[in-house]
Amino acid sequence: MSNVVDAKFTGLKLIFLWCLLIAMTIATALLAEPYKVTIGLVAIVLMVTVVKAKVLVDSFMGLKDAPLFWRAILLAYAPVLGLIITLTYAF
Amino acid sequence: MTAAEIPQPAIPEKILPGDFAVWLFILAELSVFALLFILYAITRARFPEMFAEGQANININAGLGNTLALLTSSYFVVAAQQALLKNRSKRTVWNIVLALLSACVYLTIKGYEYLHVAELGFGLSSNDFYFFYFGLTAFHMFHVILGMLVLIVLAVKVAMGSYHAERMSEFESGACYWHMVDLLWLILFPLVYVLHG
Repeated sequence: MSNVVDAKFTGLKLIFLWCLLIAMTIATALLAEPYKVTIGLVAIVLMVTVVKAKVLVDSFMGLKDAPLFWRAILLAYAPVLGLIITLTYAF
Repeated sequence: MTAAEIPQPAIPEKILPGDFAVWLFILAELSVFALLFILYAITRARFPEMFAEGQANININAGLGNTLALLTSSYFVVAAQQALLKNRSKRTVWNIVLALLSACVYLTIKGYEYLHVAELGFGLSSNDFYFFYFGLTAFHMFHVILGMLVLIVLAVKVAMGSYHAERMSEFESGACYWHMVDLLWLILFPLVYVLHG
């Protein structure tokens, strides 16, 4: 039996993760709205995005126990893009 | 007792959820979007004033609403998977319906957003910023619509009893596709809406 979303992955944990994602999303929007974008702000916003992506990949997609190749690709996606985007703000 | 007779601790099996073909498709989609994100970022760096002016006409609250709707939709898809694991078909279908409703909220916000920008007199060919803005967000929106069609098929098949705890690979494939659409938006949101100016 495939168990991408483990039965032990309780409803409460799911609600907590959803709240966490919502809170981080609102925080980044509030953080960036009033300020002019600086390289530091870009880095902070994209780091929060990386954390959100990790929650989505490991817990929602269920790749925490997936083969390393696929998990690594999905987990690296946001940080690699985040780094490239941050660099474009630096130059 | 020889080494071969010593009981070995069981190594947990590494499982890729869903069908392998779907993961190849997901990999292709992620690559295409990665290229578009990088092109957007490089073009923004070349024309920062143009992009700052364009982003000033985009409502960050619309982007925020889109993000919250998609995250909520993903939440319901995971809840549907949990329900299916417990063979609770009715609950699974209801969670998919709620995921679809959240996706409808996303589409409604996106519709208002496009209308607002069009009323300001901007379109795909106005300048590079609007080309990327409409191109990226509309391309993503088509993926959301495709994902919604997948979710509808999953809901119908769950209702027909085609999936259960012992047979849910197809369901997982559809769910992973939906989460990929969400993952793409998690990067698109800060890139286009949050990091302005």
